[in-house]
Amino acid sequence: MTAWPTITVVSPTAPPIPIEQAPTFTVDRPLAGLRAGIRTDSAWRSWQLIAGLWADWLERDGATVETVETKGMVGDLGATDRKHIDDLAAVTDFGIVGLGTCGSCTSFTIADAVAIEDHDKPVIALVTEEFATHGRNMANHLGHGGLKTLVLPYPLEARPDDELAAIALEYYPQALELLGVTA
Amino acid sequence: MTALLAVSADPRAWYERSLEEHFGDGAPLLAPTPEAVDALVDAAPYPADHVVAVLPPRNGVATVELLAANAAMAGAEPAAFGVVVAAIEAMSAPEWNAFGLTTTTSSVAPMLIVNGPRRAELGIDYRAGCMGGAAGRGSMTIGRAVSLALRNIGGQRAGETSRTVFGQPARLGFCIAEWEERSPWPSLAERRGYSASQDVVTVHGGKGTFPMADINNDAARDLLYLIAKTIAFPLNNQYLGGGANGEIVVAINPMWAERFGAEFGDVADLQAFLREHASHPLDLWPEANQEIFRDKGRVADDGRMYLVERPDQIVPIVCGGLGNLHAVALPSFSESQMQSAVALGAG
Amino acid sequence: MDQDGVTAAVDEIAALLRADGGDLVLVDADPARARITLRLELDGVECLDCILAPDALAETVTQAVHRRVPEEFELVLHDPRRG
Repeated sequence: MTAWPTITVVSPTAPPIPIEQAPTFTVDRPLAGLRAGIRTDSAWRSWQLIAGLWADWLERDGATVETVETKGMVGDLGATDRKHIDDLAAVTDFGIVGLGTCGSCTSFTIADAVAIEDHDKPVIALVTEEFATHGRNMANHLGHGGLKTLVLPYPLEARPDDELAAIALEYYPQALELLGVTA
Repeated sequence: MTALLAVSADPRAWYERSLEEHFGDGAPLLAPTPEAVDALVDAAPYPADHVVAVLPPRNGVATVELLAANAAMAGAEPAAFGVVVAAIEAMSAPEWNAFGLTTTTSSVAPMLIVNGPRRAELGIDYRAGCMGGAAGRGSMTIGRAVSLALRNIGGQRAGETSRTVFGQPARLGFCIAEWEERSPWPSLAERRGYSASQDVVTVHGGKGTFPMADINNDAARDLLYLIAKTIAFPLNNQYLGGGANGEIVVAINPMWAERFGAEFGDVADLQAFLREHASHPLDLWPEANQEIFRDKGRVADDGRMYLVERPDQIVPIVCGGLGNLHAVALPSFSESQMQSAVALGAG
Repeated sequence: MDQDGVTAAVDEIAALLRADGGDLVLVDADPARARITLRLELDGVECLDCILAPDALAETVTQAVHRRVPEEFELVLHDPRRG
């Protein structure tokens, strides 16, 4: 049996990053007179349908709605999208950002929600169940561990329109509650 | 100063520890002794505490020393460390989208393509078996060093922070070079604005190696037409986005390159030809897909689905053996743009 | 690429050709391109049928080189019989 000595090696792993959690915000008033910002993604028709219904109901309930549809992560499209998110955050009172239903799109959903929260605005990020943990992890990594996420069923994309409409109806009150909208 | 660990000198013990503590990639690793790490740091263009990048998803700080520890584990030699550092620099460019690539469900991994006078000296493979089997030290260790850095500094771990469904072999490391002497066109690095005298690494967010074979076609245009149709396969990631981002690398063997070069002396013409034919009629896809593509504005005015928007998104490189008959595509994640950086020596 | 090995292989086949009045000349051995270029000279050959057919000659030369040069290479043999 070989008797091996002890040696010193350099640790290959990075030390944990101290996470400073950014503040989160709530609406704390009724919808009337507020401007809502909704971010959809060109990739996910399911979320476009749900967001479309929510936009209608938000307007029914007294808010005005601005929407942004993101199309890219990099290049001119990505740069334009990130600017649109910033602009949306500046002119709206709260944000609804989706959809995280894949790895990278969840990362960017969270990143765009964080961008709105960095403007000191209430915001919720929509992720599907399969990517809920990933969404929370990304929020932590970006220093926004308190970011509110609303978890939708998974899979979502292939569901027929009537099912998506039912999901929209079911989760709309939860979205408002998470945002801190009062009666 | 990076933390030090006391470990058994038994090489198997270090391997077992890497498996238990998940800082390994599953294959045996060398212990990153201070001597090995110092030798790498000494060969770097920056001091040990220089921050090369902040790597997602956990935003780990990649200092030269920490990169050297991972390069030492991979067995990278000091002369090659500048390539590792340059690759990390390239990947940290926002347009490479490390944030997306390290977390995606896709199979994407950094695929390193090296140009410059030191390719052979560094053992970066570009001839037969360059994508696996040639066993050059540079090819096997540089790519692995980068992947270990993503794992141990960036915190990319499949099933945890990375949602990759399948992963791919290149997640163990992928580093090749161009056979520049056999290419009828300027090298990839030269086409990207670098000089032939510079050692340059270009990092492509690639989803794997997609093989193509032919024994039937003598005419260059016929063969290229088929290559174009092949790379435009219906479930290519490129169709999921708008088509403006991302590249697809087409690795051409030297014998085919000679034929293609005779037909297309200007590589831009080759790229334009490939782009034109890397398309299919919309009705190749089922009706439901057709509607989605129309809604997303993805269908061209001629009713076709083009893989990419621009010819420069199809990137030919020349490498591989003299056995002829084959080409390999490196399809892209699409939401990433390849980035290049010069591999510097000791500062 | 072992240049001495290439030279020795070429000399081996050239010796056989010289017996019939021909010769095999090493034009270039380029390790960077993995290409060996040879030229067959037949000016002094009286019996052309005595010289191996072009394909057979190319194969013989390739095998002779491969015995000394294990890595891949491309053989370019300029044979006047091919025009």
